Amino acid sequence: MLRLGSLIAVLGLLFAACASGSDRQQAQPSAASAQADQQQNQAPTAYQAGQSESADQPAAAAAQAAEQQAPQTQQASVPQAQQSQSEDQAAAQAGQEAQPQPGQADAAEQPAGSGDTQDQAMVAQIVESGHRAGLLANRNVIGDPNAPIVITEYSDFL
Amino acid sequence: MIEELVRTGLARFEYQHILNHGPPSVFAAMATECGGDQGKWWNFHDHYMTTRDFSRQGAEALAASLALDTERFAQCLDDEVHLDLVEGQHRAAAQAGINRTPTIQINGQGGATVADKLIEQVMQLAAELEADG
Repeated sequence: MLRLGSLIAVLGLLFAACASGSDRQQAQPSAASAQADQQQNQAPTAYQAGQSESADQPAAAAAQAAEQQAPQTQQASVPQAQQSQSEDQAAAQAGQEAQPQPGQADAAEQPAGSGDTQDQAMVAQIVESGHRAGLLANRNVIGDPNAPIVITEYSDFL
Repeated sequence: MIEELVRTGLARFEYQHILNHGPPSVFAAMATECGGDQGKWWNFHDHYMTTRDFSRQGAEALAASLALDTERFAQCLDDEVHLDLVEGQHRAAAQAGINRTPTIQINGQGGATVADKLIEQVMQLAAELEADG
């Protein structure tokens, strides 16, 4: 009777042991899947951060992760490219706005009234020195046609 | 002195051709006028006095160095376009008793051939103008 009880106990332990082994086998794929998910989640993060892939990661898993993440990366890169293009356009427009327009350069670089000041200085210099700007020359005549003094040179080249 | 007077607008300067040496003088005068046709009268005159090559070849070389239209310049010389002009200036000067070169007159008066005398005449005339207001 005692041996029968021991036998039942052993069978019970064996059954329990078999049941426990089945649970472990069913749990392992879940763990592997979780690990794969973790790798997939880590791969794009490391790639985006510019970090090299770890050597212990399987190449196939990395490739699979890259394929799965490629559309997301492309989708993410397109808006970034559009944003970059938009920034370039904005910079170009800013550059065009920064470029001086014809006729506005002097006004932008010089304060108002500086041109008049320069003109006044030039006029003052001419008045002081007695010189007029420009010198009329027409064929054999040089100087102001209305000048009160006419100096005539009669000459031969030879 | 003359340049100063001209620049201040007090005077203007004119050049009149005298042809005391025959055909070479006529040619040089016409060449200068042909240079004037292309807006380089004074440039041609000044360089002509420096090079002093009054041959046909010298005139054409000078025209080329001044970036003139050499074909137009040569045609001007061939046609003697300005012959009447230069001969007319010479005749007018001769009728006014001017036969020495260079002769400089102030408002058609005098016949200064020395710079000091010219300056004296100009300053005297300028003083008269200022006195007249």
